[in-house]
Amino acid sequence: MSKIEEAMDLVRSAPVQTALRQRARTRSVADTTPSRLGAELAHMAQPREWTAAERAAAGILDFHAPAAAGTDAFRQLRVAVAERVERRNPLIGVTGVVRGAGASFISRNLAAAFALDRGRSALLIDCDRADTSNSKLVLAERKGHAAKGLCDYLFDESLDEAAIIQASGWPRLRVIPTGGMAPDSGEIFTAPRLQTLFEALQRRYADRTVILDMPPVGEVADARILAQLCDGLLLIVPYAQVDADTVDAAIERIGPDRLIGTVFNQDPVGSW
Amino acid sequence: MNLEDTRVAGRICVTEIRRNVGWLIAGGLVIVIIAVSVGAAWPARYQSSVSIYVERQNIIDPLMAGRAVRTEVADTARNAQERVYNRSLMLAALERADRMPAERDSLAEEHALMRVRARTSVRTIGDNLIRITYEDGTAEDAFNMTKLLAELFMADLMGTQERESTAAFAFIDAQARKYQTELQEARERIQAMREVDPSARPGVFDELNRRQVTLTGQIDDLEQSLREARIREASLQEQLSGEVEIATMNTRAQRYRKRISELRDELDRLRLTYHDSYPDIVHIRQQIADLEQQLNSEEALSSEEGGRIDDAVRSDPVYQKLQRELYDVRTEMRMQQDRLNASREQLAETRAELLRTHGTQAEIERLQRDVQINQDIYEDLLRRRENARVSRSLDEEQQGLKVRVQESAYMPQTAIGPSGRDIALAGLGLALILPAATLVGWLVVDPRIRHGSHMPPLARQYQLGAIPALPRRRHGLFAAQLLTIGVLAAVLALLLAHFLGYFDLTLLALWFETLSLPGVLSR
Repeated sequence: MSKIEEAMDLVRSAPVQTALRQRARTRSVADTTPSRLGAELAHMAQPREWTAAERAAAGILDFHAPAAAGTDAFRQLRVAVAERVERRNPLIGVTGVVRGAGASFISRNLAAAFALDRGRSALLIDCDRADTSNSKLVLAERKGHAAKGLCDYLFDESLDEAAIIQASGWPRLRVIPTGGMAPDSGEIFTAPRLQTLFEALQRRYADRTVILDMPPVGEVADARILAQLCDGLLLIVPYAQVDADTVDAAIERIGPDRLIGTVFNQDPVGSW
Repeated sequence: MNLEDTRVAGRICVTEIRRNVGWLIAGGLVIVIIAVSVGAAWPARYQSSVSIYVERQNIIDPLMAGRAVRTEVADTARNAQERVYNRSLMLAALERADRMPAERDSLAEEHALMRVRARTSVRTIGDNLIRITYEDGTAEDAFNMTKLLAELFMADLMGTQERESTAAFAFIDAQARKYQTELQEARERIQAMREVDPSARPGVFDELNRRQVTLTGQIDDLEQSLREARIREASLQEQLSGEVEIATMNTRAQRYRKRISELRDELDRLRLTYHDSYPDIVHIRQQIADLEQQLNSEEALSSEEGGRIDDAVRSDPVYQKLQRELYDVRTEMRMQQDRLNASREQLAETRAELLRTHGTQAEIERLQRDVQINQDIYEDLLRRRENARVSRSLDEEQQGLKVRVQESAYMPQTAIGPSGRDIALAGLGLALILPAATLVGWLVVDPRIRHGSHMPPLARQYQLGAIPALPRRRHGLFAAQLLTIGVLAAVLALLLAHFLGYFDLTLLALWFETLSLPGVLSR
């Protein structure tokens, strides 16, 4: 039984407060107290949930429907990832071998799967400046307001992390969008402020999984810089786009020690 | 490959076909359009054929067995193809079919020839049957040309046959005449020689030979007789001298000699025992000396008489008889010697004659040999000439080679080979199979990863899961594919309508012209 399933059992069997308190006792993180956890959950009250059409438009699978296509695969993937990451609030990078591998799709659905757990939350950071599809998960964004995002944070020192963490229409899923584009966005991820941000985010909530939607590892330098900051990386291998050598080269770039695992996307055999 | 791999491969194939369904349909349509166009433009081919029976055996053969030599028909059948493809025959056929190109240059002729040759095939069935097949665009053309080819071929065959046997006869006839002349000349030469030289007359040589043998025999006989006569002569002489001795045995001299001899015997005997001084020996010596003296005087006396035979001897009847015989023998010997000499002379003459005749005879023999050889060949040629004459007559009366049409040319009712419809149908089948087959072939060679199990070892080792392909919003056909398919389908529909007779494409072309003309003019 995985930690997540264990946690889910706990949630089902006891009041949330009690369960979280029990788990909090086992933690080593100093600044998380039971009272604060309760406050967090209250603070994280869902502003508004997506309708089924909005969810589908946002590109998140129907996890609530029984045996909906692909949901089982994401649930299993969530369990497998959780098993392999030692750290409590892990920072998991999701990158494709090439563009179009489906890293954005997998990162947001994996985040959604993590957020299914009522005792956990998930934060999806859209680091792929070329494909900002995950930034559209922000509720405000969808209404036409430009929500502040990662790039704003990196260039505007007056912003704090709370200002860029945006709510989504999926319960317990928060999103940091890419934000306004920098004029010359060459090496923005080398800024030390990014590392500070990541550390703060990991400390901010207990039981939060942070997932980075990264640009493809083989094509953009950003991916390699971000990979250094992640606890581990998921490498997405797309269907019928790359050969074995390209995959090996991608693993070589990431470094096998940082690789959590590979995920084969658009698998024809599992689809029916 | 295990079951799982097969399942994966199958699913990948289906997935790829679904992904590329638009292009597969477009490819299929292109193939169908090409096939329908080709099928519509496909020329119909009509084939006609004629079988010609070339007979080798007929009733004449057994009758003429071993006499008339017939031209081998098997050879004729074998080179039938050469005959039919023959340039002049083909040109004649083209001429008569009125299918010569309008401008009569050699290149156009050559092309027309090549076309006809390519459409003609000649096959020999068994030893006797020749099948000429011809195909053309229309049934009439195929029928007419086949008929023409068969007629020309048969005429050519008959003509050749006759020409061959006539030529053979002419050749043999010429040869026979030549040998006849030569034979005549050789005979005349012999005749002339015999007239000039009597020794060249027939039998002279043999007669001389005979005479030589006879003379040699005679000479041998005569020599033998002569030898016998000599022996007889010698014998008679001996007998005669013996008779004289007997007659003169008792003369004194004989007596003295006898006494002397006796005394010498005595003396020799005594000397064995005694010295010469022994009185008997001395006495005997004196006696011998006396006797020798007397003998000498006697002999001197008798030599004075000169060998004269005593009358006593002469009168002896035996002696006289012998003497007569001796005369006879000597006469005979002389006669034989004369005859021998005569015979020898004759032999020498005969031999000289023979030597002289020899040269003439060799010449005569050579000429006769020539005559003989010429005679043989001439007679043989005469026989052959008669055979050739009969063969020629056979061919002239068309008896030698029987050529008839076994199966006459026919008017083909249906076209041969694949029809336009067949090709269109085949194109349809190909349109279903070929694009998908191409896709599958492409999948086999494409190295890109299409399943988790195809990932490299390290990636497989780290594989956490696989996300199934999910239906996409823009599923199915892309706009570009839809447009392509639509256009192709429209073209196909137009083509089919045209070929099925509902619509004339030329009208469409005219319509396009009217559309474009004002634009061109205004510009």
